[in-house]
Amino acid sequence: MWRRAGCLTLSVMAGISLAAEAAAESPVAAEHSAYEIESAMLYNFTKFVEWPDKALGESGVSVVIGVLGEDGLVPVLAAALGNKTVYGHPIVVRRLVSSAEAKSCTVLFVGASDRKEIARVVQAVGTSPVLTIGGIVQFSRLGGIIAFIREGGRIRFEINLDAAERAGLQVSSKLLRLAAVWRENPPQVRN
Amino acid sequence: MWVFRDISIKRKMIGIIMATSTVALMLACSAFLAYELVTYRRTATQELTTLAQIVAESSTAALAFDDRRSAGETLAALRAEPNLVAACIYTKDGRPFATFMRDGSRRDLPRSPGKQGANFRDRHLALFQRVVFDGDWIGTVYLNRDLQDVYARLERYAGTSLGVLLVSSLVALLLSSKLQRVISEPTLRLAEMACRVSAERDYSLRATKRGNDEIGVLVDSFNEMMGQIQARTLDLHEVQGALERHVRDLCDEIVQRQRAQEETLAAKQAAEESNRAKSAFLANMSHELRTPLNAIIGYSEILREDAEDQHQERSIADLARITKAGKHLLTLINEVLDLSKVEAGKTDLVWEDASPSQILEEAAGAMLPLARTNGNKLAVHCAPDVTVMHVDVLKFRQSLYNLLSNACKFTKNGTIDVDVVQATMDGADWIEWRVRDTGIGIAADQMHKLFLPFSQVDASTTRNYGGTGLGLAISQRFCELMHGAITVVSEPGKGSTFTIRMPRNQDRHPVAEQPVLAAEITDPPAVRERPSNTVLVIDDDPTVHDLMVRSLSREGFDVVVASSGADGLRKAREVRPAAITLDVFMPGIDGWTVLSELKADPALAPIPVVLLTISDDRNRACLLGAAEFLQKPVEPERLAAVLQRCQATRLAGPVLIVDDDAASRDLSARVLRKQFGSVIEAEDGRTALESMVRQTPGLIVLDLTMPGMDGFDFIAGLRQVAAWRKIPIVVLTAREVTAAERKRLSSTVRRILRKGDFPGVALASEIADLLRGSQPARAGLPAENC
Repeated sequence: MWRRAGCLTLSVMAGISLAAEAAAESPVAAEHSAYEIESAMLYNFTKFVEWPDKALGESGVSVVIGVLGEDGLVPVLAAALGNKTVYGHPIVVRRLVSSAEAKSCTVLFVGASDRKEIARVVQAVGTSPVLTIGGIVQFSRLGGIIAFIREGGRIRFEINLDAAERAGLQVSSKLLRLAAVWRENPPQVRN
Repeated sequence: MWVFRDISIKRKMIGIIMATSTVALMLACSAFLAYELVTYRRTATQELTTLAQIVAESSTAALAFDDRRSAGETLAALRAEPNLVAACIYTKDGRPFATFMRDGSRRDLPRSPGKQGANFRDRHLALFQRVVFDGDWIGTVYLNRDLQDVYARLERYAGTSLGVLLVSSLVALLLSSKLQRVISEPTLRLAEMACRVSAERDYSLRATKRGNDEIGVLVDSFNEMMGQIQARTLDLHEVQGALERHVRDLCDEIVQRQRAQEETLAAKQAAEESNRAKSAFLANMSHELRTPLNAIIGYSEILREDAEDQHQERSIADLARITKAGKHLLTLINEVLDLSKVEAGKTDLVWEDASPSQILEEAAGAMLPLARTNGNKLAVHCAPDVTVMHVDVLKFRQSLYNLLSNACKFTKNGTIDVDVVQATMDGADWIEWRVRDTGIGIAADQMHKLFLPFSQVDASTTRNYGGTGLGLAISQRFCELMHGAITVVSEPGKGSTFTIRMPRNQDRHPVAEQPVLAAEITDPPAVRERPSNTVLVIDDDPTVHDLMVRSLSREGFDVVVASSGADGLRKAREVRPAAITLDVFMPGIDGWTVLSELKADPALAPIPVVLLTISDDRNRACLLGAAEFLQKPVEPERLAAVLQRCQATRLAGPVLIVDDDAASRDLSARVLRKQFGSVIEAEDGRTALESMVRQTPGLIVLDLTMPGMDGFDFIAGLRQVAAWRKIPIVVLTAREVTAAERKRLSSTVRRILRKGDFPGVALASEIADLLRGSQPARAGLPAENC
């Protein structure tokens, strides 16, 4: 819950306007507001990441944004991104029930905080061109690509470039300038 | 512009060149600077736009993820751009997201983003660039660039341009001052030449030509013009010379003419002087000659009467010769004077309208006795359509009488016809007076001498027929003066016809005031002594008494009868009648004696006496002082008329005779005393006026030429007294009265008589006629007519 409470202090994000005011008044509203911020950021990430050729399929074919382990986010995402596209492809938001479905997604949000669970999902994705985004700091260090970091009332993020390379995704330098970059070998620490 | 117009051509040209080049250079420099400015601005705008696009691109992620730090870093990188003074990134809803200030405060930044695009303000270029990410507007970049460098550069350029401008102007000045001479120098030289020509008046100068351009043409034209002026000046000099000579000649001529004119004037004055002297001489001569002649004729007449009374036949004949000679001399003098006046052009014409028939009738009456002398018959006839003539009556009458008396003289026992007719000759209308006689006629070879003075047909004529030989000459001259003529047709032995031709439509002349009888003709002598209406009839025949009483009563007279001379004298003294009729032949005292006695008594003398007789002795009757002479049998009407006229001759007082010549005065006194009773004599005007104070006269007989107060002064003095103005005055003078004098006298004098023309009793009857109001027709008559 502290994490979501911290979200209350967030400023407005580009692309979507958030009604951040009075978010703390009810837990449901606060929760809802944190989801909205997350879904806006999620969508922004897709714009700074390039997928390999033909990974997104033919023009007009929908891309799937999957949500694993964070069911409350699904309707918010669906509402926020229903009319948007990723590189011209319509978006479909889907709730996943198992990691086995992970490979079929273009973007996968993993809400789990359990290390084993995260490893299993990473394992399941393998080298597929799936942009994996995790809700905890360790996510990028466990083989995920982007992890949200709550830092002093602000949401920052860390990118595992090695994981991105493995998935064949090209991350824009502009995004990298904003992010903390994690290298598996040699390990780098940025504050 | 006025200043520019007056400066020299040289300066004008330099000025024009300088102005032109400077303006051209300035335009070029300005264009260059403007182009530079525009270029720099565009470049700056492009650079700044590019920079803004880069910044926008770099800040998309920061905006998308709300990363101010990253945006701040992006802007901080702009520090490398030295001219950029401020930058800012705004969020989509207009709030500053990240800022950059170089040495400035935040206040320099716009509080909110403006419209996309660049604008220049205060030497700064400000630019807004939208940040668009994936088709979405997510923010705005603001950049502010200082343009100081641009303007500094432009200023450097401007300075350089100014330098170039100055240097090139200097060069243009140098070049133009050298090059303008090409045009200005020939022009100035031409102008200088024109000034020299105008100052020195040397038209032989020529301008030098340097080329064939327009100035060359100008120089040619100038030189040609100078040539023409030179030629004309030469001509002008010649003409002027000729003119001066001409003027000199003219001046000489004028001087000569003036001299001639002065000489002429002097000659004219001398001539006028001599003319005046001549006129004065004539006037004096006439006076000096006529005065004694008057006495000679008058006294010889009186003596002859006495001689006749005493029947001294010898004396009668001698005295008759004296009278005749005197009269001839008088006529001669008169005619010589007339002729002199005509010849000297001093004849004054007195124009008036006259009735030809009346003139003719009078002429016939006057000429009848003369005609009878030679046993001639006189017949006159006036055409009825001849009604009026515009002439000088006296002169015309003189001419006519002259012709008539000639006709009477040169015809014996024949006829003299006078016809007055209208005739047309030479296209003009004339009134012709034809005097035809059956006399001796004139030989053809004598005709031409006829009208020459002093040339009677032959010398014997004067002896046989008398006359001066001047009459025709004078008549001819008179008629010519009146625009007429006298012509003659004659055959020796058969007779002559003299014709006076006067123009019918004579130019009108101002009709002269008739000097004679002008005053109070209808109011003769006035104031009667007694308004008596009584007539005394002295006759021995009772039938006559009866006749007279009846006829005269009918005419309004009271009649008193006397049957003898003595009775008549007595009754005359008692009754003092207005008039007396007197029979000449009566028993006892005869008529002549009664007449003499009546006239001898001063109280009775003024009473007019009409002699009635069968004898024909008119002359004697006149001499004795009878007023009228009627032959028996007397027609009563005629007698009444005569008596009425006689009444008019009664005077209110004595006759005043003013004359310095004692003989003339005495002569006049004698005859007038018989006619009018008492007479007062005065030898000059002063004495006359003194006598008038004592007794007012009924008539004044006045001589004009007198020592002391003369006739004119006397009249002037007389007019001072109102009561005297009505006294009739008759001038009796020997001098020639000029027209001017005539006019002076006309208002006061009733008649002007010439001495000698009326010798003896003729004067008395003339004055009596005058007083009766009848027009005396005796002027110029031979004196033998009583």
